[in-house]
Amino acid sequence: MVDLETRSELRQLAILLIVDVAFYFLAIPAGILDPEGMSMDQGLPPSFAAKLVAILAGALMVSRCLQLVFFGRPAAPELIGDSSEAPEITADDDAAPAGVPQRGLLGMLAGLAFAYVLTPVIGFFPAGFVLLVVLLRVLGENRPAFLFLPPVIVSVLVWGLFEQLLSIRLPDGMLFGG
Amino acid sequence: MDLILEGLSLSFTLESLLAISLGVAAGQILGAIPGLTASMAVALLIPYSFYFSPWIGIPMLLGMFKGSFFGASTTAILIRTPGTPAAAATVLDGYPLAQQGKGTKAMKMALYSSVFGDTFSDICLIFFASMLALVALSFGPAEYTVLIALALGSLGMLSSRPAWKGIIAMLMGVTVGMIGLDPITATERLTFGNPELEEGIGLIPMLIGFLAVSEVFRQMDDPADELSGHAIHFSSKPEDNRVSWPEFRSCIPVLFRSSTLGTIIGAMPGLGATVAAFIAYGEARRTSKKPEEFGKGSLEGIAAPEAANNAVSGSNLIPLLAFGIPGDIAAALILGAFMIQGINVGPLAFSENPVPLYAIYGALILANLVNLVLGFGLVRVSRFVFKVPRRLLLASVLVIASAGSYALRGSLFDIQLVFVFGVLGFVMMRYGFPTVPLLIGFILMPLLEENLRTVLLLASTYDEGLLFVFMRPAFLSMTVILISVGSYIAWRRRRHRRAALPTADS
Repeated sequence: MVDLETRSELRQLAILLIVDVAFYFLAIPAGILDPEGMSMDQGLPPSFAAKLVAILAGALMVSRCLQLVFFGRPAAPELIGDSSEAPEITADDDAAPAGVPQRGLLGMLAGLAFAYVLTPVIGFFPAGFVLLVVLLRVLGENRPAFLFLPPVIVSVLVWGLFEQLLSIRLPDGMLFGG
Repeated sequence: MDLILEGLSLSFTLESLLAISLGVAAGQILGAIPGLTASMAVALLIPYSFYFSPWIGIPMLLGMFKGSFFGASTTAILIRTPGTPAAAATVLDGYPLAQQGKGTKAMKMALYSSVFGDTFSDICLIFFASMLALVALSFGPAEYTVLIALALGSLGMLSSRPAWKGIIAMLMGVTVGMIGLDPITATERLTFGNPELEEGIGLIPMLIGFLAVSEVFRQMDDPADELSGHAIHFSSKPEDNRVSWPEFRSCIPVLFRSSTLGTIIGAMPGLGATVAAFIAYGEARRTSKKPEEFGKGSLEGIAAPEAANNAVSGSNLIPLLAFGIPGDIAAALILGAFMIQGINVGPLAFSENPVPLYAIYGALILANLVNLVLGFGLVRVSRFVFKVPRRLLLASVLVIASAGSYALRGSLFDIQLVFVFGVLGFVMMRYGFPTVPLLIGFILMPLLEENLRTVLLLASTYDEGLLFVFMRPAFLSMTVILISVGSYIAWRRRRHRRAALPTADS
C-alpha cells in the first residue's frame, strides 16, 4: 500500500512520462528536420540533443517510478555538512500552498489577457493601466482614489523612463497606435 | 613610474569623479529595472559619452557598467526580480533573507561583495592582464565543454529534493534552450514555423517570468491584511540592518574563491557574469561548513554570486586591454567607445602608449569606491521605495517587468513569454519543481552544445579522433586539476561520513 505522497509523485511521473514520450515521438520529428545525409564527420545532427534529453528524462523518471514502487520513499538523510545532502537551494518548496489559488488564477488570467489581447489591441500603456486597476481590485483595493491614482502614476513613470529617458518605444495597439 | 602617474592624473580629477558618480548612479538605477542589462546600460550611455572628453566619457561608461551590477541585486533581493540576468543567483539567498526582515543586511552584503569582487578583478587586471589573457585564450571548445558540463551536472544534482525534480527542471531548461536555429547547420529546431522563435527564447523573459512573475502570482493568495501592508518588512533591530565584522569575516574565504572564479570566467570570452554567479554559488554551497543554510538566507549565498558576477566586470576587460579582443557584448561596446575616443588597446598599447591604460585602471578603482558610497544611498532609497503597499508593488512589478522584457529586443512576443513562463513557473512551484535549475539549464545549454559539437567537428579532422583533446596543454592541465579536486572532495566526504557514523560504544 503506497502513501498519499508517493501516489501523488507517481501521478506526476506518469503525466511527465506521457509528455516525454510525446516529445520524443511527435514533437522532435515534427520540430527538427535533420539535413539529409548528415554524417558524424559533419558533427552531430540537430536533433541529437533533443533526443538525448528526452531519453535521459525518460530513463530518470522510469527509474524513480521503479524505486518508489519496489523500495518506497527513501528517508531524508541527516545533514552532516556534506553539500550533496543539503536541502533545496530555492525557496520553492515552501511556496507550495494548499487549496485553489483563486486570486493567483485571476492574476494569471489578467496577465495573459494583458499580453495576448489588450496590448496588441489598445497598446501597452492603456493595457498596463487596465491590468493595474484589475489586479489592485483583485487584491482587495476598494477605494476609488487608491484604485485609479497609483496606476496613473506607475504608467507615467514607466512612460517617462522608457519612452522619454531611454528612447525605448513601447508597443502601440491596433486601435490607438501609429 | 612617470607614465603611471601621468595616467592616474587623467582619471583622478574632479570632472572624472563627477562623471564616474553620474555613471555609477545611472547604472545602479538602470540595473535595478528588470530587463535592462549592463550591456544595455552601456549602450544607452555611449551616444552621450561622445559629447565629453575621453577622460569624462570613458570613466562615466565604466562607472555605469559597474553600478548596474549592484543595482540589479537590490531588486533581486527585495522582490525576487533580478534587474539583470547576472543577479539571478543572488535571488536564491537574498530574497529569503529579505523575507525575514533583513533586506538591508542582504543588500549591504551584496554591496560589500560587489565592491570586493570588482576590486579583486581590477587588481588582477592591473597586474596580471597579459598573463591571464594568455591562459584564457588557450581555452578552446574542449576545455569549455568539460567546464560547462561539470557546472551543469553539479548545479542540477544539488538543487532539489527529490533530486529527480531538479534534474527534470534542468532538462526542461535545456529543451527550451534548443528552440531556435541550430548553431552548426542553422536548421530550425522546435520553432514549428513560428518566426518569433527563430531567434530563440530570450533570457530576460525567462528570468522575469520564472522568478518574478510566478512569485507575484503566488503571493496574490497571501492573506488580505498582508497584501494591504508594506511591500517589504524591514526589521528595526540594528543587527538585522548591518553586516557585522564577524559575519563579514566568515564570508572572506567565499569572497576570495568566488572573486577568483569570476575573474577566471570573466577573462574567458563568451561565458559571462550569469554563468560565473551560478558556478560560484554552487561552489560556495559545496564547500560551505553550513550548506543547510543555503537557500534560506545564507550570507555566503549572497556573497558568492555577487563577488563572482562583479569580478567578471573587471576581468572581461583583460582580453580587451591585453589583446584588443572583447570578451562579451559590454566589453565590445566599451571597445567601440575607446576606438571612437581615439584610445588604442591591445599588446602595442602597453609598449607604445600605456598612459591611457593607466588612466583606465585609475578610473576602474575610483568607480569601485564611488559604487560603495552610492550603494549605501541606493540601500536607503530602496528601503523608502519598498514601503509602498504590497498589492501595489505586486501589480506594478508585472507592468514594469513587461516593459523591461520588451526593451531588449522590441518584441511583443517577449511580453507574452513573460506571462507564459510566469504561469509555468507558478505551476512548477505548486508541484515542488524548482525553477532555478531550469534557468541554469537554459543558460548553459547553448554554450555546452555549441562547444561539444565544435569539438566533434574538430575531432574529425585529426587522425587521433577525439583523443586530440589530450594533445592540448590547457585540457591536460584542467583534467589534472579537476581530478585532484574531485579526489579531494571524495576523500573529504568519506571522512565526514566516517565521523558521522556512530561508534560501537555509542
